[in-house]
Amino acid sequence: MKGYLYGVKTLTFKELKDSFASPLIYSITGLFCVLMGWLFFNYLISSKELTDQTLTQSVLIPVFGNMNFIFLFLAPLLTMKSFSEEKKLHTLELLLTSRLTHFQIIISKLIATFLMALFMVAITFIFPIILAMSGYDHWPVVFSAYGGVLFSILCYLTVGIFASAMCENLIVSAILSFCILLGLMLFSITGNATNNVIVAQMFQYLAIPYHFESFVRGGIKSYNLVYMSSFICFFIYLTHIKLESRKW
Amino acid sequence: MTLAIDLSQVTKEYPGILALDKVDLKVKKGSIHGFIGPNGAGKSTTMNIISGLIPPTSGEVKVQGLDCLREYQKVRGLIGLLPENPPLYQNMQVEEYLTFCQKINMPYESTKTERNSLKQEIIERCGLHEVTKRLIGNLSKGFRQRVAMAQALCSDPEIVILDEPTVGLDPNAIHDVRELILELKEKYTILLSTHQLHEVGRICDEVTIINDGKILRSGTIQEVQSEFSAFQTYEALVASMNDGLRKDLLSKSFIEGMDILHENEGELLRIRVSSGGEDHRSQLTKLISHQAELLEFRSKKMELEDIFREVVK
Repeated sequence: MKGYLYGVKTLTFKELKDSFASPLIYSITGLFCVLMGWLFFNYLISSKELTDQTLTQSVLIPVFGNMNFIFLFLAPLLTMKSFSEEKKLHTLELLLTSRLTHFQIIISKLIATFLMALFMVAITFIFPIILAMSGYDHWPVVFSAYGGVLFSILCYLTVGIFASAMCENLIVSAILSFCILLGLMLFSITGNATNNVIVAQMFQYLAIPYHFESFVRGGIKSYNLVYMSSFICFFIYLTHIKLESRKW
Repeated sequence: MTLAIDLSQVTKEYPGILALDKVDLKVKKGSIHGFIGPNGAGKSTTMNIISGLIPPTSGEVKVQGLDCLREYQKVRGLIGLLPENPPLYQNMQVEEYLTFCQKINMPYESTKTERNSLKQEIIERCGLHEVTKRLIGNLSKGFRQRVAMAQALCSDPEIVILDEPTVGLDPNAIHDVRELILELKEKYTILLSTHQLHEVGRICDEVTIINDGKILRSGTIQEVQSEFSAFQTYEALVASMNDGLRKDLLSKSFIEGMDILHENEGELLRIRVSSGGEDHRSQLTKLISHQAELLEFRSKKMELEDIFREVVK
């Protein structure tokens, strides 16, 4: 087990070092900060007019909703290099002939991209701190919302890593993962289009935002966790199959 | 005879393509084994199968007596692979890259001191001491190839597989790589794939020729050469060729084949005869000079390059 974790740690550190040495992460983080700061400021200003709503309803829920939506575009950019770059540089052979298993490689890449996303999200911790200065104290909702965002991002990243394993070109990989994520998001709209309640609920259940909402509203249900965990495991497994398919 | 690599009846099929057809390859422990063949012959596929990158469709692959499929984890540690395209991270420093390769290839139990001393030894051996702190992306192609070779050695393997290590290098770099391979012979078993046939003749103990996924010849260089000495090649330069001479030559039972090449002085007949221990020199000179003006006549020794051409034809 120690050897297994050592392998994961080695590759994760290498990935992180690579990513933080490139200007891409800083550009994405800068863009993310500008967008989130502007949205937070606007929601905060307009909350003065919405006197019948709490700060959670008028500021936090929309801010986290937007954060989740923005990551739909940013997650593919974070993951596009994961396997595509390795294929392009022919370094995937180095990893595949090493002692690392496929799952070690996939998990290392997932952890590294997740830590990059965490670095971006960490900057938004300042929002609840600003709200706390005006007496806001619904901390469980804040933590639940952050949990939801991180879980949701983890789902996006697994899709991105799978797309990256599929393609050799970075741009194609980013577009593919964005298309899959957008398709999954459209499930909830498809649900609205049908008159059949059961079908509508099934479609809704398949969309990530439906489960994410429960987190943001502070009402996490067991099936939300089951859905997100299954989603992550499913795409990790698909990536494993893709790597394994080199042997077919 | 201890075998480092033993492939028996290995077949690899892709949809619609038979990449390897019942390949038998035996590499002796401590030898340098040349693996030659034209592009697309199946060299890289064979090497990828041995290194565990792809499994064979059928057949048995053994490395140091261990089955490659069943004992894959153990086999991984025994092989150092330099693929055709060197797997290098451009934004890593040379030493950092080798440390990373050691960490992912060497057993978890190996100590840092062991790893460091091995790394220093490999750096010295590969002549990388002056570039250890440089980014791989900034190195010349020759140095990058050395780094890639160091990568194959840094996990302390017993077998080193080098897939075209000299491709794209200048003559000096090729010379350096050749010297390095000869140095490595003391410690490792080497399977070397290359298109530089004169290199194979110089540095390899054994050679295997592959084409269209089939092994055509395999053995020591001397064995392969002596097998072909059963066929003697003569070259005769005549002022002009005529149909009568061609018919006469081809009607002789000992003549296996003949190529006619146009040269400035006349036409060069390259005649391949099955000698069976006999010398056909006088018989041929008499026959040719009777019907054409013979300018020059010589017997030609089969070099590895000629054998390769002949076998692959």
